[in-house]
Amino acid sequence: MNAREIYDPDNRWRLRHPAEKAVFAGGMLLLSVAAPSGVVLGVVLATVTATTLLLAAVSWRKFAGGMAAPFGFLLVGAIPVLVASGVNPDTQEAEWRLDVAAAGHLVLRGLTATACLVSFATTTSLPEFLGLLRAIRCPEVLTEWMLLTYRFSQSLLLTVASAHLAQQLRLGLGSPRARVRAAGLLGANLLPRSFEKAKRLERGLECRGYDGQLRTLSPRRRVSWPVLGLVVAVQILLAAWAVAAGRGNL
Amino acid sequence: MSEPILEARNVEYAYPGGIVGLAGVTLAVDAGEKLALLGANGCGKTTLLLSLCGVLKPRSGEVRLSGRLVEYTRAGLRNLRQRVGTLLQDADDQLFAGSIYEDVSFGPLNLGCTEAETRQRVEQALAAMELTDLGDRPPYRLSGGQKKRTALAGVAAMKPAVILLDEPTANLDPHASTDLLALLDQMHGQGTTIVFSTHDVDLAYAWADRIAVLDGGRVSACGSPEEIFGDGQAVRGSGLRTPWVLDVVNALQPSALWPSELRPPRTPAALVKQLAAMRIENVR
Ligand SMILES: Nc1ncnc2c1ncn2[C@@H]1O[C@H](COP(=O)(O)OP(=O)(O)OP(=O)(O)O)[C@@H](O)[C@H]1O
Ligand SMILES: [Mg+2]
Repeated sequence: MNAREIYDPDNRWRLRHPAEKAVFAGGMLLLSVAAPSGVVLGVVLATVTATTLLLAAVSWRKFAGGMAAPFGFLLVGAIPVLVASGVNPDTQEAEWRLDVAAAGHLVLRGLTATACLVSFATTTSLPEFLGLLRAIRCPEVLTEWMLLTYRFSQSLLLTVASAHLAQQLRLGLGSPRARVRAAGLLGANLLPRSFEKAKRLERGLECRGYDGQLRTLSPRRRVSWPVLGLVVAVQILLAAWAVAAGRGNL
Repeated sequence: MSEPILEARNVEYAYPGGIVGLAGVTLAVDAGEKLALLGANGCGKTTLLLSLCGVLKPRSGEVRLSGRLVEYTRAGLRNLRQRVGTLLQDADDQLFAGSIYEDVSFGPLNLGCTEAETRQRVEQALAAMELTDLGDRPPYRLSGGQKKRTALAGVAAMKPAVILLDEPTANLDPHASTDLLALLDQMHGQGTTIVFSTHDVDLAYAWADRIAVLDGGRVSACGSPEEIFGDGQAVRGSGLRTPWVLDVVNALQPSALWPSELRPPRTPAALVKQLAAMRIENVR
């Protein structure tokens, strides 16, 4: 059974060094925050999306799934910008007007920045990311805490999925009433079941010498300097263009 | 005779609520053997294995490793786990990391191996379990057989002298079972002592050097497969049956189709070979 997570384990960049992915996503994120014009934003968005879907071969479902919720928030957040209202100082009357351009620009910028994050999240697994954080000397407390949260949410999701399946198989989700009942049962059983599972896992890990610390090693990956160079070169080009476009606007 | 590598003496264990898990088990495991713990559901196989690897602390009695009493301290348990590896029945209870490679590295790192040593052990174990190509896969995206092999790789990477397996072939299809047994045979060939629990009488009869029958939290009989199943006494009343290879031989004996002085074979293949040889003799 699969726990639902945004990382796509089949992506073609899974064996790439996380630093390459971080530089790609991070650089593009900077561009999407700083780019002055909508055209540059559009190009960054298209580059990130195409690279993630075509080169990294992330499933478009995963990518769209990651984009969906932030996109919703963006739309809602753009409403106040879209409908600008105020008091006209000349007539002293309340007025409102639609600022489609500003709202569109905001949504586009938000969408581009989100795409950068989703690109990183779909191509980089959490353990990889943690490895990267450790490599740049992020405090251990923070990484361990992230790992724990991740494991717990995973085990919780797995428990939900298997309990849901068990209920479905016994026709527990047929009528709306049965659904409510099933959801109640699920909620009531979730923590004890997760706890039981955690206990069994702890016992299993104890057999392998677990002493309270989860030490692991990731497969060794080498940073590919040509790839990193290419990524940075493309980003510098985009940045230069953005600067030129910014000057043109002035 | 040399000292047993692992030993339980009068081990008793009770679960919370007073449920008896083990009611005084005495059992010696000899170095290099393949010992089967055979018994019906609920007879105490899992409890015994967990007691032997130090996860459960006996209420009374003792567990000994190479003659030395196991101490339930950090150092004592560490020493025990260095020598005794355990494969639980449900591989999901032992796998936790984000990828197979990481998961297998967990045990050696816990033993205090250096990074270089750990990498070497992980790569060796993955190759032995035919998992090298799956190294970057998350464990939850594996089939049952692959999960089992991953868990076994995690144990093998710790290079234990004894490996305890709880129902190693349960939930595996025939092909995956055969694969797993071949891998275990390979480890056994390299000197690893194997103790496995099962209720599969055919497996125990064909594959074990020695069988201990468990019944109601006690060892009710212990001996070679021939001794255990020879007259059917040892398994009577314990919820088990005789292996089918023996059933065939026993069915042939009254009609004198199987000479009583001929030693019964242990595997289907051996049975077929024997029958073919007898047919050739009859034709002559
Ligand atoms: N966590 C537990 N709490 C209480 N009682 C338990 C627990 N685990 C096992 N028991 C009881 O202890 C006894 C021995 O169980 P054990 O799991 O060792 O049997 P088993 O031989 O491994 O059975 P199976 O073939 O079903 O795996 C059984 O009566 C069982 O009900
Ligand atoms: Mg059991």
